[in-house]
Amino acid sequence: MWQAAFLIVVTSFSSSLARPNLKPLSIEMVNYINKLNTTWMAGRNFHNIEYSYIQKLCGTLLKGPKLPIMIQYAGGFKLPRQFDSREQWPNCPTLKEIRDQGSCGSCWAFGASEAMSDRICIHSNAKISVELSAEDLLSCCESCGMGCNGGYPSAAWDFWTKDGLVSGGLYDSHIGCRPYTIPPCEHHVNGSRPSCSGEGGETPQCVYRCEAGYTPSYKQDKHYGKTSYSVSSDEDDIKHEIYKNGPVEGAFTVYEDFVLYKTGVYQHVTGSALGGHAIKILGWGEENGIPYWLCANSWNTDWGNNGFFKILRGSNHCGIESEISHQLFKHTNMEKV
Amino acid sequence: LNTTYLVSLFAFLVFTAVSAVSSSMVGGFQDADPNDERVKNALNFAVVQHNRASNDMYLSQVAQVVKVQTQVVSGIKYVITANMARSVCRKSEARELCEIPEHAQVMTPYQCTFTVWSRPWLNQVQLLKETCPPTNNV
Repeated sequence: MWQAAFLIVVTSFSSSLARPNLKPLSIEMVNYINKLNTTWMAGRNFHNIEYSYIQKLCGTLLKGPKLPIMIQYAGGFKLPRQFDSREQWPNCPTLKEIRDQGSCGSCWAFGASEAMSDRICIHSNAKISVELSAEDLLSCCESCGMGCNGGYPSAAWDFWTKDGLVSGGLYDSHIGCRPYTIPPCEHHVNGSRPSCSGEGGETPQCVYRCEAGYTPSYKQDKHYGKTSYSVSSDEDDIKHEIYKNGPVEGAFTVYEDFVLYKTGVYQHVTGSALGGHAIKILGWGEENGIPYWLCANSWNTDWGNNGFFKILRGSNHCGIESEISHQLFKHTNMEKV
Repeated sequence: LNTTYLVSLFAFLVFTAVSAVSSSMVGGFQDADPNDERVKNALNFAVVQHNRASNDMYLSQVAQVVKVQTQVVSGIKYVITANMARSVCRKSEARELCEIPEHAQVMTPYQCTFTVWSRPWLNQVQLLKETCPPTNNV
């Protein structure tokens, strides 16, 4: 009897051994999603085409007609129907930046350091422009959780207020005090990224010094948040917060289909839950009558819409509004000078 | 009866504490279904890599999946623990069905934990790590 059981298990895995090359993981799901005619499109696997070509294609597809901007009233404040932080504060370059967390579960540190960097610029009227180090937050914040194995966005914002963060750019950028040390590597592809070596995904060491050649000192390079506060899960409160103070950190549950997102307003249609994920929310709007939050992911620029995505707004989809209610929307609005 | 009540109360408190923590942690691990298509793909990929790297003349196969976890990174990470066994297939031959012989099952079972990183939009799947500690009993 048990031999029969083994045989069944073995049979199910044997086909892969006959064909060692893994067939594209997602083509069936991509087709399924796109046939559903939902509010978003999944990406196809353009295996034999240069990536720059695909990026151009997507860029063209996305430049559709702009929705008219209308005014609505919320709690005594005028909030636009559509808002994009990148357009509101064009002199703050970090708003347009997309980072890459690599093979590490450091989304919580990325969503936080990205939004903090934006806020420093916004609140200094673009006089201070600094990329805060996700590395410093990921490696040195003990109360934040478990580093590359997951963390708490609210604790990250507390850490900024209490311990501060040094500057630090993308992997290998040599920008700032502590740039990210986990590579956005490539495997068997002649691309622009470094090839993968070693395991990756281990939490980096906390070191209280800057990369060689960087001045000022680690201590002098610390930027501090001033006051931390929470924002409720109310849609208009979140909007008002972004409108007044800049991007916020949000979190939601990632399902399998999200990984395939290319354009449109994402809503979960298929696949199982893979885990919680933190991102930066930088705006909102409506696309073909579908309300969305405009978000920046930390999966590099070749994912989604040049690294950005839109997700259904107003119905707590995948927990996008509830996850940010008490803790995840803790922010600091000014920098200690 | 009193003890039972206390034990269940304690269990309840521990459970609520754990669920309160897990609800706000992001980027962490989550248990996954071993029968999920993507999990199976990730495991197949890992086993192919595993066999390529081994010096064994025979192909190793998955006898049983013990535990599967997923993590959202830049893409998805699958951490799969499986009981492995040598099959009767030599690496040089491509057979449709590779049985695990009864004696081999007894002689050479071992457990592996594979970490597979998948980024479908880049067509990238990578075996980040495999640990197969020697075990006497699987």
